[in-house]
Amino acid sequence: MIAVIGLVVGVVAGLLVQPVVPLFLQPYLPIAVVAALDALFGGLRAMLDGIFDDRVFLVSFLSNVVVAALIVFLGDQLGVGAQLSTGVVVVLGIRIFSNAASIRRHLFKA
Amino acid sequence: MSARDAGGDAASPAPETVTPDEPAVERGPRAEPETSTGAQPVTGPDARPASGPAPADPLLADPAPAEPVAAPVGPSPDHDEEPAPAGSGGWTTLRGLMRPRATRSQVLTALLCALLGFAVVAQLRQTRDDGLASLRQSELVGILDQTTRQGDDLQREIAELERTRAELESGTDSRQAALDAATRSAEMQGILTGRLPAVGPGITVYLTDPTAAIGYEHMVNMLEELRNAGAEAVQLNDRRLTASSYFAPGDGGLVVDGALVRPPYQWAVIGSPQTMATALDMHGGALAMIRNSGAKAVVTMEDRVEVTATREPAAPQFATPLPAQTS
Repeated sequence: MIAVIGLVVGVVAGLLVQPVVPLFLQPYLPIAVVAALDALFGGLRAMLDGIFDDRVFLVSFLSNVVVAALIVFLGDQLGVGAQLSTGVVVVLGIRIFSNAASIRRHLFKA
Repeated sequence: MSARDAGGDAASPAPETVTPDEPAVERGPRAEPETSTGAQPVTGPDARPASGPAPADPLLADPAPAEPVAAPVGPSPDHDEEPAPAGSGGWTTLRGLMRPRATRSQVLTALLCALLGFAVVAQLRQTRDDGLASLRQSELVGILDQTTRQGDDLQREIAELERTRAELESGTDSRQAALDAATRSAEMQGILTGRLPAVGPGITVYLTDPTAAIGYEHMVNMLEELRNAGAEAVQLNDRRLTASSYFAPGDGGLVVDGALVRPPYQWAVIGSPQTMATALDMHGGALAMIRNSGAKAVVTMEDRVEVTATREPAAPQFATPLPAQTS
C-alpha cells in the first residue's frame, strides 16, 4: 500500500517539479526506468511467492538500474550504444514478461 | 511482507539465510536462460517456489505447493475474510500487501517506487519535449543523411520546375511578342488602308473654288504629289483617300469614291509637313496648276493633324494570299 502511495507521490512530484533531465543522464534514464520496472515486477512476484526481502529488493533495484546504465554507457563508448540498449531493453522486457506471467499465475491461477 | 506475516515470522530468517542470492532478482536471471526455450517460464515459476526455497525453509515451502492444491479449494476461503489460512490465494496475499504498515521494507519500497515514478515522469516529459536531442550520434547521422538526400531530391525538383517555368514563360513571351507584332501590323495596315483614324504632324490645304474651276485632274495631280512626298493618311473633306480612291467629275463638285464632295475642299494630310508643303508649292506643281485655274489655295503646316474619316477596305474578290514559303 505504502508502495503504491510512494509511486503516486513520485509521479505527482515529477509533475509538479517538472524536472529537466541532465544531458549526461539522457541516454541512460529510459534504460534505467525499464530496469527499475523489472525490479519492481520481480519484487512483486517475490512477495507473492512469499520470499520478499526488502534488502534484496533495494539492492536488486539499484543494481539493476546501475548495471543497465553501465551497459548502455559501455555500448556508447564502444560505438554500439544503440544495439546494446536495444539488447538490454529486450532482456529486461523478457524478464518483465516472465515475472508478469508468474504474478498472473499467482493471482488468476492461469 | 504480508507473506512474511502470513507465512509467520519464521519467514524473516529465511530470506536472510537463503536469499543472499536474491529471490526477487534471482528469479529473473534464472528464468532468462530458460526463456530462450520459450515454454519454460510457464512451468517454471510454479515449480520454482517449491524447488527453490523449499530445501532451505520448509515453512515457506508450504504455501507454494498449497497453491496448485488450493486452486479447486481456493474460492471458498477467498470469499471469507480469512487471510489466516496461510495466504493460499494470491489475492489474499495482495490484499494483505494493501494493508498500510510502516515497516522498514514498506517505507523502503515506497521510496524506490517514488523514485521510479519520478523518473518515469521525467523521462516521459523528456521524450515528449525533445525530438532530436536524445538521439544517438549514429541515429543523428542517419537522419542527417536522409534529410540531405531529401533536400537533394527537392533541389532537383526545384531545378526541374524552374526549367519548366522558364519554358512556359518563354512560350508566353513569344506568344506575346507575336501578338504585339500582329497588333502593330494591324495598326499599321489599318492606317494605310484607311480603316483606322490617325493623328500626327502634317499639313492642311484649304481650297476655295468660287468658279468651280477645280477639276478631278487637279485633285489626282495633287494626291499623287502628296503620295510622292510621303503622305501616310489623307482625308478630303469627309472622305478618306486610300490606294483605291478615285476622282470623277460630279454635279457641283467632285465624285470621290462614289460620293459627291463639294467645294470648299479641305485636305488633311499626315506626313512630313516640310516635304509635303514644298512638294505642293513646287514651280509648275499641283498648287500652281490650281491657282492658275483661278481657285485659291492655303497650305498650313501643323504639328497635329487628325484624319478622322475611315473607310472599310473591300475584301479582295479575286486575289488570295500566296502561301508563305519557308526559305
